[in-house]
Amino acid sequence: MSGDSLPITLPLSRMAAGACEVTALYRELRKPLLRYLVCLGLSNDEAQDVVQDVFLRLHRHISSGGAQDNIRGWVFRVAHNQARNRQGSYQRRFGESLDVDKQAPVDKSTPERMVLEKERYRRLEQAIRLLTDTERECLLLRAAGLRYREIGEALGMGTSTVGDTVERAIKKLTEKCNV
Amino acid sequence: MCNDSGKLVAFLDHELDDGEMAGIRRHLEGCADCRTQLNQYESASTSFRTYCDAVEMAEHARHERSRWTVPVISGAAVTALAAAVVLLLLGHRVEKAGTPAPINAAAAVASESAPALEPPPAPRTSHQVHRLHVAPPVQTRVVELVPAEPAIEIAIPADSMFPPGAVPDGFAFTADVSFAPDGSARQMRLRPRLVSFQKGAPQP
Repeated sequence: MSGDSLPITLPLSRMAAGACEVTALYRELRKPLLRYLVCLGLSNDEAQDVVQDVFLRLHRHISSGGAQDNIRGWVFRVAHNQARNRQGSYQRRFGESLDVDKQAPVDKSTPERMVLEKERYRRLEQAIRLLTDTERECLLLRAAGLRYREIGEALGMGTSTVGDTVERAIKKLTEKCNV
Repeated sequence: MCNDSGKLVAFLDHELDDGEMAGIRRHLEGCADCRTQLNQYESASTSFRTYCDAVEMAEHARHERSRWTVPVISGAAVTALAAAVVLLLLGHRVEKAGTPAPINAAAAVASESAPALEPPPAPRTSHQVHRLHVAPPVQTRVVELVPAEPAIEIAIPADSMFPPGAVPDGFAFTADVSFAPDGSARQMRLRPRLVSFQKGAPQP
């Protein structure tokens, strides 16, 4: 057998295509993912770690020929489950109140406007705290730009259930903070 | 309440099919209530997104603060510790180099002058060696030299005891002599004294 060569077939083209796709998704979803995870209660460092892990898994998933249907929903589902695994800090963010006086981006052009906007943020915060976990998560994913179908994939819900949940949550916010 | 009001959020999110979207659009043109409701839903959605942004920015600011605060506090603590160690070492060095010198000189002179008359010095304790603040040496000597009987004080010029140049100008020594009841000298100690400070001062 010496001198004989064995043909080795590497899935280079598939790997290269997968890497490009992962890179494109990373560029598109990194910021919304970070914001979603931070709003769920993870610290900035934890969120960065989760995002890195999610995209490593995505790379493996695509390289191994995994299903790419509803890939955005898949990415958020993995991130959501990773956040749940870090249960210590999960949901800490909306459990604590935002320091509206210092952290809310209010219009400070006039004192009256500033006071009104701060009051609006306080009411909004109270209203968000009254939402159920599912309602809050649906709104967070919706704010990240996901469609109802993708939200359903991320949270393990049907698309019509997502529509109902989002509508209910938006109506609650409208009623309770009277925006 | 309109029949289409339940689809306003889905309409806002473009989650309806084309036919339903067109139907809602037509309905909104003629229904002010639904238009108001749609505006409220839109406003609530925008407020929620803004709130999420604020939460994210607050977390980012907290992260940045902690990133800078920890090194600054650590640096300050290390600097304070280093300063404390340096001060402690300097304090020891000043005590060893400066404080005992007059006492030792006086004791050396006394032992050289009258070795037989001076009782052996009491052994020093570790507390005396390491103390940071000691009483002025001359005062300590005076207290130690208070004799049982009245002492006779004799002023001796330094030139008469030491070779020229060995003792700085203006210094003399005071010998404290105590006598036993039989008239013999029992103890004698020499104390350095600055006697000609005014004498040596420059004349105007």
